[in-house]
Amino acid sequence: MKTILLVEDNGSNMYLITFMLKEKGYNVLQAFRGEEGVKIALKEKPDLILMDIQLPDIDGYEATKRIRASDAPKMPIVAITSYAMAGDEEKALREGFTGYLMKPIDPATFLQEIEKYMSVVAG
Amino acid sequence: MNDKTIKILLIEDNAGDIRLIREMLTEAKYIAFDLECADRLSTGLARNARGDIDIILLDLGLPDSQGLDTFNTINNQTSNVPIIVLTAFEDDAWAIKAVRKGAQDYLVKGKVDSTLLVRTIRYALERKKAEAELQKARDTLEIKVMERTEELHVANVRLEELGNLKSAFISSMSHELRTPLNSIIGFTGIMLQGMAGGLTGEQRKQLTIVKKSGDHLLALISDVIDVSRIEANHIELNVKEFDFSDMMRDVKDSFKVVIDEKGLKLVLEVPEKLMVESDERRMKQVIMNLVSNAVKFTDEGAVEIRVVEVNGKVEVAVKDTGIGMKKEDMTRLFKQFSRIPVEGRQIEKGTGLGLYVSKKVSDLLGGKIKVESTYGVGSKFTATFPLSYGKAMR
Repeated sequence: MKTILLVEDNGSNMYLITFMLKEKGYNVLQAFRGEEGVKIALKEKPDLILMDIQLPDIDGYEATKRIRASDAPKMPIVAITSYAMAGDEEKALREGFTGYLMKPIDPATFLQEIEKYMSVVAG
Repeated sequence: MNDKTIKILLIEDNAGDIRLIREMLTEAKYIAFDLECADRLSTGLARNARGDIDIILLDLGLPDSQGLDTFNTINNQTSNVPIIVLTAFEDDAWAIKAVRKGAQDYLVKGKVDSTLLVRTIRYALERKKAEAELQKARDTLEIKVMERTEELHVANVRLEELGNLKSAFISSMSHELRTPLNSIIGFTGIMLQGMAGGLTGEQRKQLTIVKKSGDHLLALISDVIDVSRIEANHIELNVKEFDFSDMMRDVKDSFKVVIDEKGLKLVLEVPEKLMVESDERRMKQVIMNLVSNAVKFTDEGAVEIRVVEVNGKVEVAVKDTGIGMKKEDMTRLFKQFSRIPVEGRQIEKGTGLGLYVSKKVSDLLGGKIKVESTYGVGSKFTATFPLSYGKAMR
């Protein structure tokens, strides 16, 4: 079973995404804060990380930077955020994210995207 | 000036000229003069320094000073007292220069009578007074301009701060408003997909309304935020090269569901590949809006999209067989919150901002939107953008 770490501070979104992923048969780990996310990522080495950018302690960029600087730098990390500003996608990719998903999440396409990122890892 | 005696200082060394002038002044009616004389520049300067002189009559050739120097010396001492230069020759170069340097006038000795002398003195006094007032007005104006410039500068700085604040506010509101909507749209999506268990027909119908309302609210928020950003000049463009044809195929795909629902046809004619250098997301936003309008206002028939490259530009024509528009309504199309009511038709869902935003965004991209429409027959919106944003804006 593939494991996905979800770093998200909003409870409803956490529940929503977790629900969808579990429904698809993924094992889901949860972190509500950036530092907590980094800790779990390094300990559990999930197959994919979904990371919100705006978090209460360190933001998604900083968390990603710390993971990239660790002994598991190749972990796929996908930004998931409602920051729909021009240039945000570029910024996310520049700052070390593997991909970028924009809220609101459409269940149909969201799961396809996740599978796409998983298969990239597998391949 | 009748009420006041005019104090004249005559600086002149020729006793005959002094007598002549005194006689002419005595002849004058209606005006009282008080004449004081100095036969050297130095004594003239000394007398003038004591003040209360209204006007100076000055001979340029004096025992202790000659020519223009005579004028300059006394003029430097007293810029407020008008000076009339006395000269022996009609074309005296010094006298003319003195006038250029600020003397009120010059009089040629032997060609002056009482009337001319009095008139010259009066005019000189009046002119000097006017000059002084003009100078005062200029000084005041200069100070006022400086004050206003400073005020404007302060206001500009404040405006810039406000602009930044507004931008930060918009960015934060955008995030805050969308976050709860994500839950609403996401969970209804999950339920409609049947992921949370089976639904009755009525539940499905009602959830679909919730989902559509959520989508509508999201569109409203996006439009309002776009308008604020456009009006605050805070739209950042993200320019890079992309395949326009690919983007257009994406646009077509995203309308598949609604086109099928309405039983319409959506035709896309596009070159196999068309590379464009601009902001893809913003261009797509404009075209999506045009197509969305076409679909919205067409109940039967087809929406045709044709993409052609002409003269370094990409032209996208969106033609529908919809309800069309009357001429008088077309001028209001690109205004904010302008919804054109259609008889016998429920007001369409929308923000009334779509075309306003599209027009502004297309301006930003160096593009244009053109409309042709026949009431009851259909409309055709044509958007034209430069193939290269960078080249077009240079």
